[in-house]
Order: sequence, then structure tokens, then C-alpha cells
Amino acid sequence: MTSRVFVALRVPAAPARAFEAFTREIACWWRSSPLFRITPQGDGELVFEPGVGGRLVTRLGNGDSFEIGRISVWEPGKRLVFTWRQASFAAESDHHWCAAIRHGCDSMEPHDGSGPPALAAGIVGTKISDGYLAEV
Amino acid sequence: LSAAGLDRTLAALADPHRRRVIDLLRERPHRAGELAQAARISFPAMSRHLRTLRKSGLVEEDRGEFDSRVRIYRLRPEAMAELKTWLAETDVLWARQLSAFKAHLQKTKK
Repeated sequence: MTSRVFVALRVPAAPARAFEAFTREIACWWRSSPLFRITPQGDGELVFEPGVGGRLVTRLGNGDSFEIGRISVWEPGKRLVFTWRQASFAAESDHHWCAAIRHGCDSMEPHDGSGPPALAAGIVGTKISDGYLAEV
Repeated sequence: LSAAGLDRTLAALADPHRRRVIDLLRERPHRAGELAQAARISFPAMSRHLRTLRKSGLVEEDRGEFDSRVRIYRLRPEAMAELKTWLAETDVLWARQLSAFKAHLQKTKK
């Protein structure tokens, strides 16, 4: 079973640009939240290591880094899937949270004529048993 | 809701018979035998499901008012409320993050 929270919005950028901003510039737009602290030391500076198998890590102010997750799908301009784990989750736990982003949607109307808008979708799930982490 | 508590709640709900029990208990408290009959499974099988649901905190059992051998099962709304809170908070977190992502794209638009 996978429990999902689905959050989506359109963003004013072409899919390739949205993908680049989501991954390479995550440190610029990520906002820490008191509800979900990635580590007890705070959220730090998030960095994606590009490509399948790459990590999503956060670099903390004290020089330490924390691995948030691993990338399972890396399709620039199309799709990105990665696992998500905060420090408060049990290390031995066999389930993870998963977030995904998908860009581009044929059914969406054009915006200002500069190309199709991108759709960014965040999906958070909890893996209960062996199987797929989350649908995108 | 702790990570372990969340695991237990979601795992307990990851079974169609247990979800059927939750649906039945939403209407009113039931005896184990009634639940087994309604879910069309054996009494021992239902007992196992009820044990899982009890451990998750989603249901609780009471002794019957007139016969202490009878066990009555009822929902514990607190557990479901905690799950709903977690889902809402998670939703808010990602909605905020994606809004910040959108604002970043607007700011850096060439």
C-alpha cells in the first residue's frame, strides 16, 4: 500500500527550465518549515547529485551532510523521482517517503505564447511493502 | 504522529478486510463475531485482523455490558485524527515548497 499526498501547480517555465530549477537550484527555492525539519540541526543547503542513483543531500552549517534520498528516475524536462527521508525517520525502517516532479502536460493550455507551461507535481508516499514507491 | 505510529496506522489500513472493519465500526461498535460475518471471513482470521487494528490504536475493545466474555470493538477516532493531521501537514509542506519553487521561477524568468 502506498499512501499519497498529491500537490500540483503550474509554473511559468518550459519543462526543461523547470527541471533545471527544481534540481540544480533547489537550494535557492527550498524553504525550511518548523513542521518538517529535515534534521535536528535544520534543513541546511539541499543539493541534487544528477542522474539515476544520485543522492539528494543537505549540507549543514556544521560541515556535516545528511542524505535525504536517492534518485530513481532522472529524465530532464520530463520526470524526476527520488526517495525522501528525514532524520527523525527510523534508520532501519524499510519504507521511505517519495517525492516526484513531472513536467509537461499536453492537455494544458498555452500561457503567454512562449511555449507550454510546465506542471510540477509533488507526490509524497509511504512505502509499506516491497513495490513501487509512488506513481507519477 | 511518530514515524513508528504512522507506520502502524498505515500498515493496519493496508488490508481490505481491516478497512471493512473500520467502515463497519464507523456505523457503531460491533462484536468480533458480527465483524467476521459481515466481512465473510473466519472468526480466527478476524481475530488476527482485530489484533493488528488494536495494536495500531485504530480500534479498542471493551467487555460486554451484560456478558464479560463478549468483546465489543469500537473505533478510536484519535488515531484517525492523527493520520488526518499528518496528511494535512504534509500537504501544506509540499504546497509551500512548490509555491516557493514557482516564485523562484518567476523571479529568475529571462
